[in-house]
Amino acid sequence: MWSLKELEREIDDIRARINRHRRDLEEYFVKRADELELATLSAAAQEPLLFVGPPGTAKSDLVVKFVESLGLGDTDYYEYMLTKFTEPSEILGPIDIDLLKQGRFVRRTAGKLPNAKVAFLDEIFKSNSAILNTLLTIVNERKYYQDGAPEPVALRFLFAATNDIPEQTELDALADRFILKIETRPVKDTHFAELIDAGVMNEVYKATGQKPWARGTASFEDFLKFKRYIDLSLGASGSLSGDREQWFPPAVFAEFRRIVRALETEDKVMVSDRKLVKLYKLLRTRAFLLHGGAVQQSDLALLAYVGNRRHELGAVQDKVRKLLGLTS
Amino acid sequence: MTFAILRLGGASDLATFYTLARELPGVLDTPWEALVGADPAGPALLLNAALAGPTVTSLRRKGVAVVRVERHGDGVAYEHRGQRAVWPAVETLGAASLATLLRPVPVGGDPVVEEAWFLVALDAPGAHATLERLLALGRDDASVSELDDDGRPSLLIRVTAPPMYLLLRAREEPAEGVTAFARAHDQSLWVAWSYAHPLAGPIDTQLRARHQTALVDAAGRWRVFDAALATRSIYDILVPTLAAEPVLMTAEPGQRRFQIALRLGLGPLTEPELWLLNAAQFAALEALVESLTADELRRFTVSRLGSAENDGPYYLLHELVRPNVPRMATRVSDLAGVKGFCRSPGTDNLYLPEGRRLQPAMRRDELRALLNLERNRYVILDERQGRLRRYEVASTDDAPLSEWVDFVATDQRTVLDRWLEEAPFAWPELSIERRPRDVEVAARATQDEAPQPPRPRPKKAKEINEVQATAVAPGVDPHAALRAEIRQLEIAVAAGGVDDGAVWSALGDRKAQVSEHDEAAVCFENAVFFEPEAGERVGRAAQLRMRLADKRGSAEELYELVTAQRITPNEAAYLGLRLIEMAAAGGGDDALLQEGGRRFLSPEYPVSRRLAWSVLRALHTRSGDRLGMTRAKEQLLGAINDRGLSDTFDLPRFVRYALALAGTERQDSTLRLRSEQGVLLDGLWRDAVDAGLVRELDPFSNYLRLAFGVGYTRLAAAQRAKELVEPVERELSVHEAPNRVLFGLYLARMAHIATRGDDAAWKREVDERLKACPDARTRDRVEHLRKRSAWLRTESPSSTDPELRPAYHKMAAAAEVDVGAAPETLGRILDDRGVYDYEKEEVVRRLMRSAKASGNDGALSQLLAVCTGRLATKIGQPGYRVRSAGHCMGAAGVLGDVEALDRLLDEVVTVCESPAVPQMADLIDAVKPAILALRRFGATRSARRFLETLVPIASRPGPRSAQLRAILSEGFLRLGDRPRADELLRETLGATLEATMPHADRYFAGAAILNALRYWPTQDRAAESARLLKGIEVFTDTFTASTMKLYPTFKVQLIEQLVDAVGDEVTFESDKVQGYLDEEEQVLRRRIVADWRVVCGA
Repeated sequence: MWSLKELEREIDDIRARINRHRRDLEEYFVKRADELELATLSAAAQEPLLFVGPPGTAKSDLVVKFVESLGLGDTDYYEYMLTKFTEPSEILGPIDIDLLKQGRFVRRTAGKLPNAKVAFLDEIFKSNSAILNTLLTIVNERKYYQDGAPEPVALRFLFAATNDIPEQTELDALADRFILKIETRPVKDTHFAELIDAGVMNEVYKATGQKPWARGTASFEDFLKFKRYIDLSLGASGSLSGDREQWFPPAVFAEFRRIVRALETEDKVMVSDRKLVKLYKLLRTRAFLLHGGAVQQSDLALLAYVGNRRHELGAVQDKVRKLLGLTS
Repeated sequence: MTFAILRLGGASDLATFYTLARELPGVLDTPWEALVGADPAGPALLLNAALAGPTVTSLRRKGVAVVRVERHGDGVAYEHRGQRAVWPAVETLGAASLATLLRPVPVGGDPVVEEAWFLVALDAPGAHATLERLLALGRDDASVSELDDDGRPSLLIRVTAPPMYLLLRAREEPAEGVTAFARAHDQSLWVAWSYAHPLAGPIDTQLRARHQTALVDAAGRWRVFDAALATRSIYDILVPTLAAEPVLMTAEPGQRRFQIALRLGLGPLTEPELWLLNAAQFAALEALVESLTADELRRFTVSRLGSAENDGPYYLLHELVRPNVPRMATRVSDLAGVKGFCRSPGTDNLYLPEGRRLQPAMRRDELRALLNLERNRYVILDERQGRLRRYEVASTDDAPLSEWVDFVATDQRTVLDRWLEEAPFAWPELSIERRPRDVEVAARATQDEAPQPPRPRPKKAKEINEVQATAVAPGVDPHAALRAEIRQLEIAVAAGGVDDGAVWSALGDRKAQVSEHDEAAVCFENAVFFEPEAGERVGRAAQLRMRLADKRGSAEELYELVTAQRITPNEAAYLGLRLIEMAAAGGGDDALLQEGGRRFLSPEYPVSRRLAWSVLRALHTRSGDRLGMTRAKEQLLGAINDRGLSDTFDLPRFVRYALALAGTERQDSTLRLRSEQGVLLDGLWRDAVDAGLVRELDPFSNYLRLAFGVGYTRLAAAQRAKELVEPVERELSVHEAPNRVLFGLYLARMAHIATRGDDAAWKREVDERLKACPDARTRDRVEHLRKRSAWLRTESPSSTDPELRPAYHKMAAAAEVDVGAAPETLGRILDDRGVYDYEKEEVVRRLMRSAKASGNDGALSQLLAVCTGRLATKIGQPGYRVRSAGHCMGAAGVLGDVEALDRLLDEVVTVCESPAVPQMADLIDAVKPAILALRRFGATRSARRFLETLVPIASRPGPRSAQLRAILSEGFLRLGDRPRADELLRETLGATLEATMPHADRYFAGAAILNALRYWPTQDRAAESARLLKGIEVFTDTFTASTMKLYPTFKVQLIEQLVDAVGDEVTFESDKVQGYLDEEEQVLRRRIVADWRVVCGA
């Protein structure tokens, strides 16, 4: 694994490559800059991201292009649409019958979620309780069970999509794991012509087997190194509040607190303790990724994506932008 | 000695000063001194002249921290709770009252308040920012006051439900100069937000008395002002600016008019009321006219129109719309095959095609002028091939549609029968003389091409159901006209009971013309059934079947077919038709004919009952074999009694479609029901998953998956079924051998349902799979469940008949063979005192069963008569008496004898009201046939009394009482007493899941509940089914340990029945289909009996 000293030498180049990679991808979408920024940030921080929106709003396309642009192979990517009938063996792999006859409960995970580096799970909240429990373990602890023993998963980036976030308490635990949730809206009303142009071009690429977005601007390893650097730098100061004092100016930190409190008390957005810590880390990651320094007031725009329920997403986004004085 | 009150500067001060204010209210407004240490917000010593002697003691008793103060130079010392504190230097502050000396104390956290006031100096940076933030958050409900704050003009912004963000910002960003205050007590004191003042109550009282309001900030600074402070809207203090360059515009004289082409666009879907029909379309309304009552007929007017283009005549049909009267527009449009016109909203006489409206909207006066609405009676805008066409109808000669109807007598026997039954008069015996077919055809051929104008009405009876070939009007698409004719004929046939071979033959002709060969063949076969003498129809049907069966027509083929182990429906029908031809021609090989006759006698042979009878009739008529004819009759009628008509072979496909399309209230009923049932199954599956019933490598979970898979397959959701059973197939090799075989059987059942295979195919499938069992032990275990499973078994479950003593067994066996003698035998046995009651009941059961299977309705009727008169006196044991009554009710149900049924119900009631009540098992055997009969007849005279008598008996604790209650609940449903039925079913289910009862009783009760649920409306089955599914674990069984290890038999059986209850096949068959089959059954029975009489002369 890389040391902080090693990474410090190349972290600025990595940062530049990841940012360029994000900007390059924007070319292939219409009005999806926010989604791509969040996808990049989630990948850099290795936190799961949930796309919420109706069918046909480029959710799957966005993830697929993101993965392809990193030069990952088919075996590294796992995509599955969950239904109420989906069962763990479809996600984790079937039981190895030969081994079972020897009394071992081992799954054949080739080509399944445990072996993938990037995963996209569509309609995630339509799955049943067995799947939800399995996913919780994977998202939380990055592991699954083989023959009763925990095994680490290769998964690094998890993207999920849903049409709706059901208001069922049993789904709260999984929904809370998605710190950021972004609403993908149709853009045809505002960008009619651009959408058709981009769509036609995409069809041409598909028909001719081209993938111009796979330019190799950034690699999967760049994201791993970036994450490693952030993890190491978070503890580099050596004191309990050292990171905050160094990278989070008090005024911005106070603003962070104010916005979270306002969302909790007025909009009833539940921000759990776990979520708050993850948010801090995401803000630090965003700040470092986008401008290479301490957290700024503008980075707090990330709080626009902390809504939990479907109806909260738009309202929270609107409110955070207003509190921060952002116009759009 | 100096005493002081210790102010700690924390939340405990609130209690201290609350107590002080209560104990010494008089000292609050006397002069006080405060000795403050290094931290002004920290502890302080408060001194007052009243703090001395007994007052100090009293206050200390109340918990107030009063300390003795010793002065040491510039400092002080005191002792509190045993600890001595020394302040080297103190500052002395004086105040006229205690209130102004005390600072507010923080309460901790970020309290949510109802209202807050924000005080900000006008020149502070926070003034502008706070107003902007309020407006950005949409809080323009804030009001503003201006006041002078110690020489600084300031704003006091009042906000209800203040944004938390602004409160936090005011507290945490002192540089912005904003202070937020929240109400401290009732109304007049406002304290810095998230602080509290120790003397808020007394201060508030004083302020109110003085009509003043006070603000106190965290530093203890007071601002007091008059309570009646002027307030303004937030907008009143804003001066909006707009950085936009103005461009001035002025009006110019002149008028320009644009030409806009009117067009028809999508409009609201309303039912049309006007139709413009050509002659053929008008003629197609005959089926509608037939079905209308006189009142309904009067709601239509017709006007015959010509046109300048001479392409008429046209018929303008107008439905007079009456409020709250069902419309007939859909039927008219459907029959005529054209869309109608609706009145355009806002006009009186402009009609537009249904679902269209005129675009763009115009002023009415302009519209009237443009379309000549005022000069015409009707103006109709139509569109053809994208072009608008305007019909202007200046005048009409409207006449009621009833004026266009001729009534004639019909010669159809079934129709007349029904008519006579419904007539309130007594009629002498009718003899019907048919018109010769050729005369009839000739008469029809000379009919006008178009309907005639109104004529006088020398009417006798309304023409009913007489479907005739209609000549095609010139200019009408012949194919469309042919289709229209077919539709009319199909509607007529779908009504059921059509026993006129000419109608079937006409339909067959037309079906053949439009290349629907299989349906044409069915029609010709039915025509042959009713009119065997018309040989050319046999030939045509045989030709069609030959083509469909891919045969060449050689004699060798017939030998192959008649000896074939497996035969397709087309091949069987072809064989039958060729046998009829041979028999009619008097030729053919006797061996072939004999073997053919034997084949067609089998109820399993894949042909319609009509064709089977046609073949058997032809063969026996040819040979004059009366005995054969009688056997054939009884075999066929017995099969019909036993299992009714088959919707696979006896229900033509087009009839099913016609029934599905007929009427509006049941349209797409099959699809709707399937969808509803699919949703219910989805819900149940979800419940099963949530209840933890679906696990990996668990046999019962796999049975659950397979049962739901079968359910989904039935609902035509094959993909979903496949998804569901995929894990079963993956795990197959892991499970024990018997389970593997059983899983395979269930998977085969799914395939069987998906391909609509017949019973014989299923039996073959099962046999093949059982042969593949590795050993006898495995096979036994498979058979254990298979024979109990309603889906896997290939034969009905057998019960052990009680043994009769040899002499009586001999008598009963003889009577079973010679059904004609059965009534006499039964009478003798019932009258014989030496015969035990159980034997009498057994004989009743056997003889009733054999009479039903024989098809000999006369014998059955006599048996019923023998029994009903003797049960009460000849069978003493109440249990056997009610059982016998149950067997008799079954017979009454077959015969349709409602009177007998009522008598038998009364008989059961009488037995139950006597002191010796029968056992539950006996009552169940009696109640089951009663409920079956109620399903057929609905509520009868004695039904309610019967059910009400049995409910208290079924409510007694005891074996199988829950089962009886479940069965009775369906009875109440049949009576239309839904609340009672629901209550009984719910209560029974609750008892079944909770009460302690033997395993078998619990299973039987569960099964009875599920069986009853099948007759509840689809949606209402969900709750109870889900409840039972969640409680499925209680349905344990007591089989051997090794069997339990493999599978829980009762649970599997119940899951099957659960799926049956939710996704059942019965519901798909709409009432109309069942009604059609019932009607056909009666026609068939009458015809078979009539044919048999012709040959046998009985």
